[in-house]
Amino acid sequence: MSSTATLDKTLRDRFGPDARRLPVGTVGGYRSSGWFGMLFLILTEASIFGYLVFGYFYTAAFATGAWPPQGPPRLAYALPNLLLALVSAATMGWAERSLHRGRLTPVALGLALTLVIGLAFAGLQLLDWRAQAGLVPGAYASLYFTITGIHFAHLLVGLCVLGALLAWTLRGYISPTRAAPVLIGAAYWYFVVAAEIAVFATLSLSPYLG
Amino acid sequence: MAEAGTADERVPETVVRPGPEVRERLQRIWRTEPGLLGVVATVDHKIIGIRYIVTAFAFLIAGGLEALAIRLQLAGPDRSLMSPQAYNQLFTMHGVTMMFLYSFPVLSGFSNYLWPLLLGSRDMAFPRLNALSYWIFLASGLFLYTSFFIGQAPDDGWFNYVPYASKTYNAGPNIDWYLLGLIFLGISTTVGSINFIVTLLRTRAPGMSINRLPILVWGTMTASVANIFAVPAVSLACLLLWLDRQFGTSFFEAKDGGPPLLWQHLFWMFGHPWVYALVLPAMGIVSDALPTFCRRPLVGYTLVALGTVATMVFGFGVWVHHMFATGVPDLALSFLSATSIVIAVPSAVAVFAWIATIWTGRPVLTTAFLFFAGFVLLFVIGGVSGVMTGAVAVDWQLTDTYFVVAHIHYVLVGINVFPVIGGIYYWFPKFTGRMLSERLGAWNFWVMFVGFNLGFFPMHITGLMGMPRRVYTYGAEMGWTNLNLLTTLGSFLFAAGVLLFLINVVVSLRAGEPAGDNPWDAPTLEWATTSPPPPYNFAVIPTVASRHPLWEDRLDAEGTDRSQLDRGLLLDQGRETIATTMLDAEPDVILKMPGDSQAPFWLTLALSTLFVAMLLHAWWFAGAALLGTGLAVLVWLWPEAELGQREASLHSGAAQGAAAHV
Repeated sequence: MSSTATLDKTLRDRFGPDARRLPVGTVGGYRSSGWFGMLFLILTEASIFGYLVFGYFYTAAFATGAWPPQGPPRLAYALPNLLLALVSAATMGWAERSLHRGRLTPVALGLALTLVIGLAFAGLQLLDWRAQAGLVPGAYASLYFTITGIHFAHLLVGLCVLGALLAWTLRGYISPTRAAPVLIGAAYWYFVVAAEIAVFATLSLSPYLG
Repeated sequence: MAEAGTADERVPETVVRPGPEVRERLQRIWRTEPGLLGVVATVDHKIIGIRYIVTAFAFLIAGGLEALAIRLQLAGPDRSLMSPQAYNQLFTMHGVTMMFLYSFPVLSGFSNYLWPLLLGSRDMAFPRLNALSYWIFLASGLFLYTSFFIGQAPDDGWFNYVPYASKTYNAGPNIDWYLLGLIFLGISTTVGSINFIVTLLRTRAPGMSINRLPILVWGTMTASVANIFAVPAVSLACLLLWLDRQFGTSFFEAKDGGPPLLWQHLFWMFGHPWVYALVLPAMGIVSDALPTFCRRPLVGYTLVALGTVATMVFGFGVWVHHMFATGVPDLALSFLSATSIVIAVPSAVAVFAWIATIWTGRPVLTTAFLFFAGFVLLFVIGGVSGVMTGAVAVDWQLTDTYFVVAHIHYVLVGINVFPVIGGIYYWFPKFTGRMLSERLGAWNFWVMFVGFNLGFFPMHITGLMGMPRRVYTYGAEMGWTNLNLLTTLGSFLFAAGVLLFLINVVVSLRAGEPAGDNPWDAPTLEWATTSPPPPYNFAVIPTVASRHPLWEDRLDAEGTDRSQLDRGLLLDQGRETIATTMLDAEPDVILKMPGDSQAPFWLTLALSTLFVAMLLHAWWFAGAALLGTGLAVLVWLWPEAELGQREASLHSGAAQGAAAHV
């Protein structure tokens, strides 16, 4: 402790007695630097999907023949994928709410469930690609595989995040006070789900709407 | 077992006039280790800022030499100093270097160095991310420049239009270097921008509310937010074109239904906001430094701050003015022409604010002042030629001529290079503890100013006479000879001016007069600490009560409240700084800041391997590098108890959870 230390009355007057006792480090979660960082990472990644959707409709507008060239895509995998994504957002939300309430077992369970659903999603995406392998090479096929491919890449990152969060939760790193990793990872997962909704609306829904 | 973690909360100690023992302790906590390890691992924002500026100037010199070679080729008609192919590579790399490797990084350098000092903090919000953004900038710049070694540099201009950039017409690796290099650099820009935004949201001194932020902070903040939304457009465009070239997709292949204009849209959706990102922080430099030499606060602070933001908002709605001649529908043309003209309004507000500041102040004619005043003049010229080409009819006449080349150089050299060099004259004493020579400085300014106008003003006329940009030579019968010779002479004079600047820096580093803390009697927080500042910036976190903490005793308008610079929060239990609330900047959290780390350096190496492997089609290598990148990220993000990111011991988290159950 410094010998020159004295309590500064002016500071205390200005900011009130409450402000003098401050949290240390990454406390809570929503006001951690990492959470804000994730927020802006999501915005920039979401922009990628925004530009992809723009590219899709721009190319569609300039298409000379039918769009999609071989008719609307089958929904055999896309629709289940959308539902899986929505369910995984719910299981993630459950993990997050449990964390706020200090119940750590459901946190681990929720993360594990989300991870399993995410893996199923990835598997279905691979099946979907196999089913779509017959697409005629061209602008549409390029867009179809690239948009789903970029979403797949984000999904894989999300699965790695979930794996790390699960490991950290099981190791006892996580608590209601030190909740930031889970809250930050959850934010990323919701983004992966939201991006899936956008991808589904663009690739699978819009052709049926004419 | 001792708890390695941190307490959940505590009362931060407040100190008045900290003594030498406090400063020594902070020095030990914050210093960078000497030796190679420190060089690789440092996260000191001041060291990173200087690295940014020095590296950006190295690229400025490279880009400048390319420009001089171009001007030698164009000095007279039918010259054959170089082949058309070499000429294409040189003007492309000149553009790429200046637009991507100099203009923006140099401003990141200023902001990295200055932000924590201006905001009264000890570091940026993410110190390691700061190091990462620098290392990636350096690596991607070197990546782009390696293309010269095999004579296959990018050769399709800095905006790289298809179809010339497609595999059919450009089969070599030139364009791949451009595409991968830009994606690589985009990572640096993105993480750097996120760092600035979160720094602004979090790590300001108590009392540094948004209405007290220096304009440089407004400018960099605006540019950073824009980058978040703009950079993905070009990164994506580059990825799609790379897929077209490497894997036979058809995003831009007209014969397979891919619209080539999509490239132009995506590029300029990025490109135009980017141009504002290159100038708004530089305008901020002027808005903050010019008033010091006018001995009065900036006129119209609020208007200039809001104008900065407004410029960027409009800036997202003007991209098509680069494409007026491509057959865009009339309605879109009218709308985007209107926004391109309206955007002049917030810029004009700033110009009038600077003129009014000079007019109503007591100007001190230092070198920095000369650069700032010169900047205002060049800005007006470049702004007016911009408004001219904002009108569709005029643009159809002038597009792809030297008139546009003149415009872009007035805008970018005028609004970026002049404020940057003026800014270095202003902050060099803070960076180094020594003054730059004012006598050499006056020479430096006038040679640059005369050389610039001699070189670039005639380009307006060659453009009006119809000389297209990017031609590698022209015939004597076109009547462009004298003007081109004049441009070449001017460009060499301009280069001599830049050389005088470099000489001044080298000489003054050794023999410059000692600066003291505040040689210009300036008003903002960075001048409240020593020159150069200690690694911890401020021994106590200052408390800010006005926009001009160091001028409060002489400004009635600042009210009776006084900033406190020698008493405040101590925060000396490891690397710590204060996080404050978003709008009013009241103390919120004691932040535990990470120490020096090698992770950013190794992560950059892994990424560099990835991009080189992608260039060489070494896919297994690329996969391994990707894995390495993932591992480096995992190690980096592993929660640390010392930083208060996790529960300290294995069981405390579970114990707390159990307690919550009860």
